[in-house]
Amino acid sequence: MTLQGYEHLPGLRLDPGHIAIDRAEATDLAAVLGTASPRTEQLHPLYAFIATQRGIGVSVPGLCRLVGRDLTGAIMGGIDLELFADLAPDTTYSVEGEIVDFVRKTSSSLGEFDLLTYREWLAAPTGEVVARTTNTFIFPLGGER
Amino acid sequence: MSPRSRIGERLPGRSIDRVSVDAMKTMGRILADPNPIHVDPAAAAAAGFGPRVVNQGPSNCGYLIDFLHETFPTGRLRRFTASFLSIVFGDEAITLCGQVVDQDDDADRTLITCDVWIEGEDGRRAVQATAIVEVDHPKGAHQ
Repeated sequence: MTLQGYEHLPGLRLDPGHIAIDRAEATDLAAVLGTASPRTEQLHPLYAFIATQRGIGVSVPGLCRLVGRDLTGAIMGGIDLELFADLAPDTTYSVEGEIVDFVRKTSSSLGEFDLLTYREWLAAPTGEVVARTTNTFIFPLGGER
Repeated sequence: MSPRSRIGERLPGRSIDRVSVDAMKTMGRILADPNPIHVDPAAAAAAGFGPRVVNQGPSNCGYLIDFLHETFPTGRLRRFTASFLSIVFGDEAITLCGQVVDQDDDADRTLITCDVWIEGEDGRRAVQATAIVEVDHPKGAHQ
């Protein structure tokens, strides 16, 4: 059940945006990951996450502020990537997204925490949705991890 | 004849000797993620994570996606669902592991479902994911 006081969030559309990833940046990501055989004609599938995060019209701290939380201390709970087509460098994708839910939960390892779920997607210049990602952020409410 | 079933096959594990703290700084820029727990040990400690910086979750996914790409070099990742069970720390040694759990063949392609995960240096499972990889059959191979 949505956390009390935040019932307006589920379905809230995030400000849209655009993004294009160039080949130089794709090379940087390959170096970060230690990719043995970097892709040349396609972007790394992780760009379904990266491009949505960077391209959407709200920053990561801004997303946290939407739920009245601070980014520091927040951790990602999960990522669900769906790829419907290969992603290409130097292509401008439009990015849209929405809040799915904001709930309070308890786990044995984290204790009580708030969980933000949001969904973002990339559309090619043709309008075709080429990737979608559903992510969760965990905001622990206290205690040593 | 259907392609050989790979269900139950363990993927050859791959080790990463050290999660690079310098790479984490670059990843922070790539992700536009200014969270200081990824670059500042004091911030990580203050947030309750202990004395080491916290590797970005998406990087952990990237290692596993590359692991799948190395295993199925002609395959296309169609879905990747990851849960972050615990933290991967800067300078930690990790191992990438996996197993084929399902296989769905049709005339042109095979969808292979794998469980993949990251083990930390103490053997804990830090990231658990399920991935679906689409592999085309070689042209002219009527199997």
